[in-house]
Amino acid sequence: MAFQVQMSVLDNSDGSAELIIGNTKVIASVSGPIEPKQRQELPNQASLEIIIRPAKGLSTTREKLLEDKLRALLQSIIIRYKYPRQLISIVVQFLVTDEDPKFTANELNAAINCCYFALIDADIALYSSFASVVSCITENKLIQNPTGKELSQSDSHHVVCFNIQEGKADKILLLESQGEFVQEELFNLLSESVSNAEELHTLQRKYLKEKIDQDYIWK
Amino acid sequence: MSRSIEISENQRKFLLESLKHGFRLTDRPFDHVRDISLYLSPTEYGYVEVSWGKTKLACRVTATVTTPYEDRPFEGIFTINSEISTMASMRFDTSRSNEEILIARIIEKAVRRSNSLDLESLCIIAGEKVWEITVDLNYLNYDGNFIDVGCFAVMLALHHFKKPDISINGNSIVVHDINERQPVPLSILHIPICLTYSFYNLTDKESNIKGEDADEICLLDADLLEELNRDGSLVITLNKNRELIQLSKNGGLPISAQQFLELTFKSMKTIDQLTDLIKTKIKEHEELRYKTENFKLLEASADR
Amino acid sequence: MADLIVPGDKLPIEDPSTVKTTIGPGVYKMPTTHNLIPCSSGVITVETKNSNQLVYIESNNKRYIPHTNDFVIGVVTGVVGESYKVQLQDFSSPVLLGFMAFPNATKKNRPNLKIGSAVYARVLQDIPEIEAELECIDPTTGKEGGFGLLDESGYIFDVELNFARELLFNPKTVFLQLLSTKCQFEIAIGINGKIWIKCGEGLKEKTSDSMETDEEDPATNIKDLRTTLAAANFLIKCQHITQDKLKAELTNAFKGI
Repeated sequence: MAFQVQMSVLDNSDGSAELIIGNTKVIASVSGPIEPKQRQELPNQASLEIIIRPAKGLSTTREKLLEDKLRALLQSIIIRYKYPRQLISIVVQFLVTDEDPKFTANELNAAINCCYFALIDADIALYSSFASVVSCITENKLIQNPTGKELSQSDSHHVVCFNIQEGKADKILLLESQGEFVQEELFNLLSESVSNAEELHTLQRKYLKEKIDQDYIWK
Repeated sequence: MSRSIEISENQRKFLLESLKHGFRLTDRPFDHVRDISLYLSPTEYGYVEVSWGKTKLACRVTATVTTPYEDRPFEGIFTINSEISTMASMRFDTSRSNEEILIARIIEKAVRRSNSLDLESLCIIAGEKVWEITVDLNYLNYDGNFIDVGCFAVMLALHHFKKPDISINGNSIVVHDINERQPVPLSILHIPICLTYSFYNLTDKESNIKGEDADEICLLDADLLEELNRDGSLVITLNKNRELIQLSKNGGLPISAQQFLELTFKSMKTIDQLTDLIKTKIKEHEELRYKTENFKLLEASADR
Repeated sequence: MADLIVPGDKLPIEDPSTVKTTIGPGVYKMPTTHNLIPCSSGVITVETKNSNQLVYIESNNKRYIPHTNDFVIGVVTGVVGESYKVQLQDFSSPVLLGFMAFPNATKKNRPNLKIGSAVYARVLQDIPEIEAELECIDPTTGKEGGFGLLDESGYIFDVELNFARELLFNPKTVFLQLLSTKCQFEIAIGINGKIWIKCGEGLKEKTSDSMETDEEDPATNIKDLRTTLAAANFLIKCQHITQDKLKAELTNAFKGI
């Protein structure tokens, strides 16, 4: 399954990343810590401004819902107490998507993984690394990283994001499930996803090492 | 409190002094456009990414079947969405700032109102079903000149796009999947290209009667620093047939009518260059697709 | 030690409760548990000296966060009360430079800074909850010490923060040594990623009341201007190439001058 990351792609952003995962292509930009607007300011933490823009058409409540889920995740993983009265602005733009608009699983998964690289590129303090995995269950069979077609034929689909401590998936930061499934299927999915997330983390380390080599190419 | 980019006096003075001596900070000639890099999606018709120097944007064209407007039953619907997010630059953080509205309006006038896309060709069943073509412009990075790059990207994407083939059975229509039947390109009547000129008044005096010593400096395709320090700008939209599509000069430094006509004539060289670039790129892409997707096997005609 | 560390990894240090530990950028001390965790991704350095250990993570970024004793270049954007409002980077929170934070400043003897002027200053105070403060006095001598207004004949440009640190803190930096073989220059490096450089006399502005002499060759007027711009372009390009290509880049940047 295709997985490709390019970091520092945008000049004006403090951190940016372009991620191609499966058939989904997304670009995220992070700017911060910068001056917040009056209404956004929080006295002892950073405030987050998260904007998600769809691949086709204008933003609707669908994007608002995705923003909400991403916010819940990022609010707990960014060390916000390090930047009081500042703003961290995150914009996620989907460039190519693969699923029917009534599904958001592949997009949410791509957005989370892309934000990780963009946040690292911007050098925003994080409590730990994180990696997200999307899968669906069709007739008791588990499919990891489904295509849009497989997703629409599935009985249930799930996006799960783990935080990674010392290379191992530690806690679940986000779990979005839709459809019909039984407890046994869910627990099976979670344990499969753990190994998937850890593999993803190894890939993340590879890209981060490349980035460090590129940043210090002049040394 | 809208965000702004602060330019030090040092940068401003260096820019103006260099212009006075005939060169830009980036050493590009005054009437040259920046290096252009294009990406056309090999899998999806109608998705392109365009970069002029560091200004980057992505453009997508989509088509759906819908009912036409009541007062125009023979025409399809064509809309261009061009919202700028803070990804392009933090200065675009208030929605619908004046600058953003201006950019959207100029691109709309240049492409939509000039009938570059033949709306009657989008009609399927008069009064009932027509194609609605939507163009989404997503600005990714701002280094000056969104208008020219935006218009160029829209025209490139429209050329790249192909709409699904349709068969009509009485009052119902069948939309064929693009893998089932070859999709159909859009009918584009002409290719409008916008060019933005920036003006600088380098002497301290401003003359009301413009004589022969017009000492305003005129740059094509300004980057961010040049754009923030300019005294006026002019957007001219022309096509290869030497037709003037639209023109926008909103206040700013006055220029003489003579200079304006000269600029219009000089623009033709760049217009030709850019129009040819679109055509060659599309042709190259078509040939590549022909080879990689083995269209030769799908052809039902015989070589003579 | 050139090892990659990412957030979530364990810091390769002795237990801080047993050994006195000093932490630098990229390491965060949890306020509740007092655990040390890495919060950036980069190359970790652990140094032990006299049973003291120092740990920090070296990483690159573009957004500068003010810290006390940093030398920075700021642009004056306004006046607030008894201070100048100074911008260290686009969209960052503005910082304050008091009128009295100059050598020999009195209530009557105000410094002469206009909007758009660039200053070289030292960060005096960096409490995160309030605005940072700058001053233009050398703390050891009480005199100017190189701080103050950076005149308009020099060019200002942006670089990434790790490169700015290299130029400022490495006295034998190869980039400036190489540049000095091509031209004489005066340089001020701000740790906020801004650099001011002047080659020769930099930008000489023709004053409107000086007589225009026809004997003056316009080409020599702008030689310093062009050299300054070439030097700036060279330093910007240096950030993205390996050291073996430096000489070629230098010749390229200065061709035609």
